Amino acid sequence: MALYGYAGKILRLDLTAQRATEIDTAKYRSWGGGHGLGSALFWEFCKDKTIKDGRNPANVIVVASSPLNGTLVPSAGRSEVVGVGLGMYPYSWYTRSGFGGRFGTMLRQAGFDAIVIEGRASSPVWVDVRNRKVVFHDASALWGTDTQTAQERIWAQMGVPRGTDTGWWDLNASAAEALDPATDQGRTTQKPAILTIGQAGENQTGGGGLVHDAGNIAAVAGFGGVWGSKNLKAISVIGTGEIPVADAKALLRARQVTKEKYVSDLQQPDFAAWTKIGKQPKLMAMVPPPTDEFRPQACQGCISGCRARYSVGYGSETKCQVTSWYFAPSRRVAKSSQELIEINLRAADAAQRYGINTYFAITGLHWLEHLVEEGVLGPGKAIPSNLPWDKYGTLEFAEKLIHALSCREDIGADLADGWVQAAHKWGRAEDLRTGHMAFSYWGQPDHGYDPRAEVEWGYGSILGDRDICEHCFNIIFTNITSSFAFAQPMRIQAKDLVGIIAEKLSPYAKNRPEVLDYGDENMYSENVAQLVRWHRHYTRFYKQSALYCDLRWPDFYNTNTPDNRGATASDDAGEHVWWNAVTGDTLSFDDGIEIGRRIWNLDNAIWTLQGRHRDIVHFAPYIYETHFEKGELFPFYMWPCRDEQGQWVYRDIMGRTMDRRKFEEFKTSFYRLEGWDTASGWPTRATLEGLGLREVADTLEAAGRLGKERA
Amino acid sequence: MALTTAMDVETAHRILASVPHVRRFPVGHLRPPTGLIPSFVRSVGELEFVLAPRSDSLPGVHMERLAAWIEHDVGDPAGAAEVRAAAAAAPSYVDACVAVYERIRDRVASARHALESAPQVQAPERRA
Repeated sequence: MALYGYAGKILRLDLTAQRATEIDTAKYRSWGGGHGLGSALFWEFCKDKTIKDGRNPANVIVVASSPLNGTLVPSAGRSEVVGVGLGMYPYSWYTRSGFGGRFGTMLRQAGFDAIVIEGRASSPVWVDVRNRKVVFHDASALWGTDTQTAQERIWAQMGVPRGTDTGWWDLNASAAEALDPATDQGRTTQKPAILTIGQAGENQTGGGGLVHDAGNIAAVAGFGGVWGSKNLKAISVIGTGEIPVADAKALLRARQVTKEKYVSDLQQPDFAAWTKIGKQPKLMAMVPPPTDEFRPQACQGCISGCRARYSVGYGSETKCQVTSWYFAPSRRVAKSSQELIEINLRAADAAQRYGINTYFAITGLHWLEHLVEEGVLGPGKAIPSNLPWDKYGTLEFAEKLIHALSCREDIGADLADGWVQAAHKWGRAEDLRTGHMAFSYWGQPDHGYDPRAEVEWGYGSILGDRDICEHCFNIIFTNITSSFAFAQPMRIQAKDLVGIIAEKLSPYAKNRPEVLDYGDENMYSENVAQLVRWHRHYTRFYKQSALYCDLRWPDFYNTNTPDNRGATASDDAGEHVWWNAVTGDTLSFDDGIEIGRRIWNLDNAIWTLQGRHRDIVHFAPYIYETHFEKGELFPFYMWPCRDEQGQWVYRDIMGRTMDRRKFEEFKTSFYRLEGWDTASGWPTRATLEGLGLREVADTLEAAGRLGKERA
Repeated sequence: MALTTAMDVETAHRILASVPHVRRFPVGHLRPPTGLIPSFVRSVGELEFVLAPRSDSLPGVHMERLAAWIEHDVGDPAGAAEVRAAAAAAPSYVDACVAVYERIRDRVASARHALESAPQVQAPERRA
């Protein structure tokens, strides 16, 4: 029987024995793909789930695709990575990261839905996967190279045609098989998709990421450092297989509906439309393009093209915050806007080449600058550093800093194991109290959306495993704030907006607009707990397992449609519609949420085994002890709230702080609604068995960490 | 570019120099649909880059606080008055950003001009 939407096999790589084996995907089918598939595989193959450092050889890393990768589903081209991370605080949780590009699609065309990485090689290796044939190669000569050099050398070693003079090449060239002259079987014009680490990964730093092509990085969680600890330099995948789709007509129908109904009219585009899926394609660099000569670039199958390849030869394929990690320092030295752009894009390139997560740098640099200013960091200071601090803001400094952080040199020697760990080592824990070091949760930096303001972001991060980086609801803020900024009438009034969104928050918060009240009185309520639950479950399935792109989904409201209802949860082009067309499933939107709840519960069981208890689920002290001051940036920080008369308004919420006691009450509400033990936060047997996870409950019970049922 | 009234060297120094980190001024960039990037500046010169009009994002600057910062932390009451006046006359926040950007740009140009006209004076530190 065809397994629609799937390649049908999962590749297991035993690095210790340098052996590759296959298992059937069918056994894990109920987990969907991506994160769900990864969690199920981690649960089965990681034999010690108490580990708190991803470098432990017992750690298992899974790189997983989605059934939607490489189909016509718009904006669903990403890949997911799971496993125990590195560099978090106080523990590195079982966690996740993701990246775009073409790796997931190519992996499936090579015959696999996911790769399970186990053990540790005795010396550096890279792995060549072609049409279900797997070869381990010595990577000693690649060790020490940056991510771009490593990919180029692997392509060269494979004999892949390069440059603009590309053509057909034979995947079997290094094998014994002859080509079938009647078909193109085994021949392709595509380059292998390679996922690799740079020096940041090789040196096992918490900032080490996994890089694919020039600028797709799975940055958060330190998985590059984990690969480094396993002596795994790269995995290359290429294939000529195809993915069977269950209902091609339904897929095309959804695509047509999306184009005609939800997407801005290309003849008369509405650039200010309030929508995600329906937005005009545009670049997502935080700095302007360095030139008008560029080609937009998208993940395979995506309608956006949010990255670009520039004729100037730098800044290509990188996007979002990576392009602005050095923005504040570089403003000090740049003499023109063009120079500012060039410094930032070249600094982004440096980070991508070393394969390092730059999110630490944005917030972390503010902290380092504070330490320099205080006179405790620098040459001959209490925290010695011989970096050229007198050149702070120049490209030279940026490159030396990236090198130091990636190679455990200078201050990088301490920061490599975690920035918060370094703060404690340096006697600077007080900076987490004052907010000079704005690392909000689990040793990770504030994202720009503060737990005291965008509560579902902050709560979701602290109740989970990392900064969630899920822009599902902050589009409310950006649209409202933009309208206020231009002094233009609101496209949608607050009452209508929350009403439309709440229609789609099925099942827990369906038609309950009060869950979207971001006001002071509501921020610890059961209403918000339901919102957080919905968000955790939605993203665990639709965003991290089906792998819908964060930039385009969910589409709650959409001013391109007459009734302002977006595509999310709709019966004509909702998330589940695409899923069903590809896989042949008959899921309702709510069924997808329920799969997400199951994945979320399995994840919490793993955290529980790692040592999670509600007592350690708290933010950095500054969240409770200082006021939310992002409102200093804008004269307003607007969110929907109910006023004293219960009427919906857009209200400025700047200046507030978080009440530690009330947050504890919120946690109790959340745990109760999830069916977890309110005293410990651990899952209960009834909840797990209700999700078909009896074996998980048994494992927790054997470990003495099964939650108690409470009245 | 129109220069504002002639500026004394001392004021020019203050405008172009960086204030101590503890007296930095918070700014941001709003990049719909996803991004709010918080940051800060330590000199008026940096504000030119923050406020420069762009088609794809909004600068994040609290104008009232900016005027107070320029007056008290930078030490340029005349510049602060220009910022206040420009912001107050603008019909929207975006218009205020454009108007204040022009004032800042001119103020910085005046400061540079003042220092160039007094070559014996040592250029201010770009970074404290």
